[in-house]
Amino acid sequence: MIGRLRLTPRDWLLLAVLGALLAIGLAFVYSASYRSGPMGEGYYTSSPAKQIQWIAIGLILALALQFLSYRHLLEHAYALYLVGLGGLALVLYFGVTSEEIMARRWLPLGPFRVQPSEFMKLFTILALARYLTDTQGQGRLLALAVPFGLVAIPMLLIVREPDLGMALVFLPIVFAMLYAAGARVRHLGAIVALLAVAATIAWPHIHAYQKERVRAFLLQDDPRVRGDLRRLDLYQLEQAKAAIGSGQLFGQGWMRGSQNRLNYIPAKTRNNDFIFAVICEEWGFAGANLVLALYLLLLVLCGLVAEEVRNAAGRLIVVGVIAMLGSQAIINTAMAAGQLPIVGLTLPLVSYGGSSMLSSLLGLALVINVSAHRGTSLSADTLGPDAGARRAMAPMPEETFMRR
Amino acid sequence: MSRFRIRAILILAFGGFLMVSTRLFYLQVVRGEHYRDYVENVRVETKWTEAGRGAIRAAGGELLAYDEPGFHIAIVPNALPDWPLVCKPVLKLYELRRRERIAAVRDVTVVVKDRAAGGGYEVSFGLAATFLRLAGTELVESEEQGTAMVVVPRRAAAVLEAVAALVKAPATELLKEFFEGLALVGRGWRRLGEPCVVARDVGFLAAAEIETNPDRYPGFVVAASARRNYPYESLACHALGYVQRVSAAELERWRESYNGSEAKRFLPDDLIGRTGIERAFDFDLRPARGVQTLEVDAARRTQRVLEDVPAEHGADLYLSLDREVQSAAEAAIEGHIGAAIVMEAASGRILAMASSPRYNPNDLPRKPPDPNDKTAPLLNRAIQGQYPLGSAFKLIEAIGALEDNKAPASIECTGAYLGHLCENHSVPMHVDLENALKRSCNVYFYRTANEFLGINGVVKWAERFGLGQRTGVSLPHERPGFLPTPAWKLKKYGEPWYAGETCNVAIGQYPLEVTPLQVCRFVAAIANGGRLVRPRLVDKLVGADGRPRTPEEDPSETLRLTPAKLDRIHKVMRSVCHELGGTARKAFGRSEAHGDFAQEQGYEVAGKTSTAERGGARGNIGWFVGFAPCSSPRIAFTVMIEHEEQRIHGADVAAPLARRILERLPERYLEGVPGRELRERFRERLARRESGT
Repeated sequence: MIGRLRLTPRDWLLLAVLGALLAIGLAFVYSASYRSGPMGEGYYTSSPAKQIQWIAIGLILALALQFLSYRHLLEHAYALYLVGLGGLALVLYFGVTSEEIMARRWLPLGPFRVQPSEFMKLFTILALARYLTDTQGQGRLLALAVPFGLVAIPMLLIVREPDLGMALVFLPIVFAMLYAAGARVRHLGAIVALLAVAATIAWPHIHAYQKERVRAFLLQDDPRVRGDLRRLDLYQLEQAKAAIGSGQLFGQGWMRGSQNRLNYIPAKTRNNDFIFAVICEEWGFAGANLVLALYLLLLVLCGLVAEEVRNAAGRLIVVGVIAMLGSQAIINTAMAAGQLPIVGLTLPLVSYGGSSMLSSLLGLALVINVSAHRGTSLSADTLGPDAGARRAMAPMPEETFMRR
Repeated sequence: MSRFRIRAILILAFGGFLMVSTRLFYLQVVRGEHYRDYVENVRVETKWTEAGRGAIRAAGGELLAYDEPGFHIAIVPNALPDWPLVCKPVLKLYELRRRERIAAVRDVTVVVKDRAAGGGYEVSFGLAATFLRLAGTELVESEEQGTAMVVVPRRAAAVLEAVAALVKAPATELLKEFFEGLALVGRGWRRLGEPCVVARDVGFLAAAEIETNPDRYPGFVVAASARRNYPYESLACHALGYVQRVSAAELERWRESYNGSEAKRFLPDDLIGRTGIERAFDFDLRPARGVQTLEVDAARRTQRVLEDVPAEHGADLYLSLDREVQSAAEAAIEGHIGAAIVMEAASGRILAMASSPRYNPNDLPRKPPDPNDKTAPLLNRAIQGQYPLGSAFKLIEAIGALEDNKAPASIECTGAYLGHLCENHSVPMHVDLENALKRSCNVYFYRTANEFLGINGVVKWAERFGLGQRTGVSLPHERPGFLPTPAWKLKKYGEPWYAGETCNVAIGQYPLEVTPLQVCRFVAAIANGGRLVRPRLVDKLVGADGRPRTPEEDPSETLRLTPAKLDRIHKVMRSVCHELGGTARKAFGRSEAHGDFAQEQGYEVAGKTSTAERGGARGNIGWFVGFAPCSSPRIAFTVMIEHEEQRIHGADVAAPLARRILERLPERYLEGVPGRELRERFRERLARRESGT
């Protein structure tokens, strides 16, 4: 069956890069799962084992996804989108908080806790791809209202959790997809301006801890505040920066970073949001750049897929996944290095976290799927009994949407 | 078009990664060294470990001073209720001073005003600060005085009063201690979270009350640390000295290292020897703090011990002081103002150094003696009191005249010479050297000094016998006494030396001044055949390693006295005590009160009485100096009594006291001296008599 997916060497390279990132991530999740105890009697948490489980589940789901074409998913894109919204709504009422963070972000599903917002990103990408290929935009500003509406609803729900960082990731996704779909740059610029105004209006209404994080970020080099490390965020920022800096060129060695091993980077964020600080400390500038380069390579390979795919919807899906992974990776690493305020975002494929791992792997599975199905015509597909009905919808004309 | 847009998105992503990478380059490569240092520091913690101060023991091994656990009450400044109101103004003041390029804040005097009505306290600070300011191109030093005021808020004051009632000390006292401790925080010598001791040795019950009810005494904690205990209380208090909390000035001086030892450096609230042996051997007695360098995690839990330098107990001192002799000497002069010293003549080991009145060093921290007390109990009269010597000086003169072959064979004393009188014997009378000493004839020595030896000869011999110089005993604050010379007078008054002044010096009167220890030392030199020893108090130090070591010793000076001539002096001194006409015959011969000393003890004593006048209406100084036994001298002794009346002689008071000390001299100092059975019988009788009363 896999043989029917026509994987090019490029796809194999993409898989190799993915494997490398997963391996590095697992290694550092292991290193960061160490908890120091009195007199050096530390122990390792179970998070590396769980991470392996999640990777396995993710890979199986990704493989399973290859049995159907992304076009089938597109067909049900709005349904999936509504399911995702339902999940987000459920979180607001039945969600659980984790022991570390006072925010309802998880849904208890048997032994697991899933974070619907992670999956909502993928559903939104599918819905946007579907919408943007379905509609014939006239390049008017108003035509952008629906796509932004599509992201605004999940964003608002996620902000209610609250999870501002996750909500903000939807913006690069929608901007990148609209841009790739041919929206006018000045229209997008106008929307950016609009968002800036909205942000200033929203500022007094955001949570106190969020304001504190922004303040900590803005004042991180202010000597008056620097000594006053009682505020946790600033402490976290300081310790992460110290960890990164102390890595110097080649790092203190895997499993040997003192900031990590001695708990100076707080344990609750060390193996997810701040894993990049651990990588920087233990592998140094060289290792950190290796990780960044792997990401870039991953994105470029995805970009090549997007360029090659003739199907507009498929291309938009790939662009959405690129935006999703790229923006998260940049925001996460920049945050650890003190270039952005602290937000609770994972480093995709590397950080510990089941939902994040699943959504990243599934996102890449979509890319592989698009790549594998780039040349197939629907007639070649054995799609089942209602294949004929689907034929009416395809083939989608290339670059017919949103053209001026 | 679409291809271009996809590339644009990728380039944007590349830009993002480049931005992060640039930041990493700054943090890891440019500032990497800084952060590596920071990380090294943040995970390393150094901890002091403490050890006790060395004990002081008497020659027989009895503990005279040692550390025992004590409970102190301390305030953690930033845990007090309303602490910002109390602490911030003070700290701000210091910060202000520091920013003004301050060189030193000199003294902080805290005046606490008890505001009875409002229930609060006002604390005002006197600050004297030295500033260094740049005026033009020159650094100018200027001194400024200032006061600052802090009103202690009601809640803090209420807790304070509760604690004060518990430890039975005035609240103002605690406040004063606290603000002095806070001043150290202001100087950066202590952190705000570290406890400042405000009451020492509060007793177990008060400590337990505070320890078990932290909610009732917010900000107060119990600090357990050593307190100095002197089990024999006032015994040898002057020689031992006492300890006190280190002062701000001492702290400033020894904060980094103490006489070159970093491990012995001082921290606030440490104890320091103030006087006596405690001061002189403070460095040896002081424990060396240990340092533990630990690797700690973020919760400050120890991960590894990187370095462990163990704390070292201070050295134990073994004194030459003999507890029995010391208490005999103290008992003898009890009730008088004076001093008594007993010394081994050959070695200079001091067996007893008593000064009266005494004090109890255990009470000192809480009940310091009244500074206006005229009897000055803190003064160690044996080394700090300077007195005219009187006719005991004639011993030196006689030896000098004999050695220089300038002693007149015999002169006729008519009772006066150059207007100076001799009222010590019936006149006129022919006196030779022996008679002159025995009867303490003044005229013989007026003439010897003026006509034979000359003032320079007298001064030369007084210097040789160590008068007017510190003896070098290992005690602080020793006074040198004073030996007048013609050169001194010319310099001081611009006047030549008069013959009358020679007469004054000849009989040891003003302006000659000596300390009792100097006297005991020269008597010991007469007793041991002419070696001027350095008085010693410490036999050995036993360090933490258990190895004993002896404090370095100056070789004693030999005066090269002719034995035959010295023997004449010994004989005269014996006759003073045991022959008819001797000035101390009354004390050592048979009388109604006591039997003959030689018959009771089996040996004879050599001595010299001496009475010196102090100027004005002040009473006489009575001396009795000497050695025993006369035939084979073992110990030298000096008893000095400050009298309140003028018409009192050394023979009347000091000599009987010396006899009382000698009677109680333990047998171990008289080994080989015949008459042991006699002495044992006498001591039995003495013990019966003393237990009977």
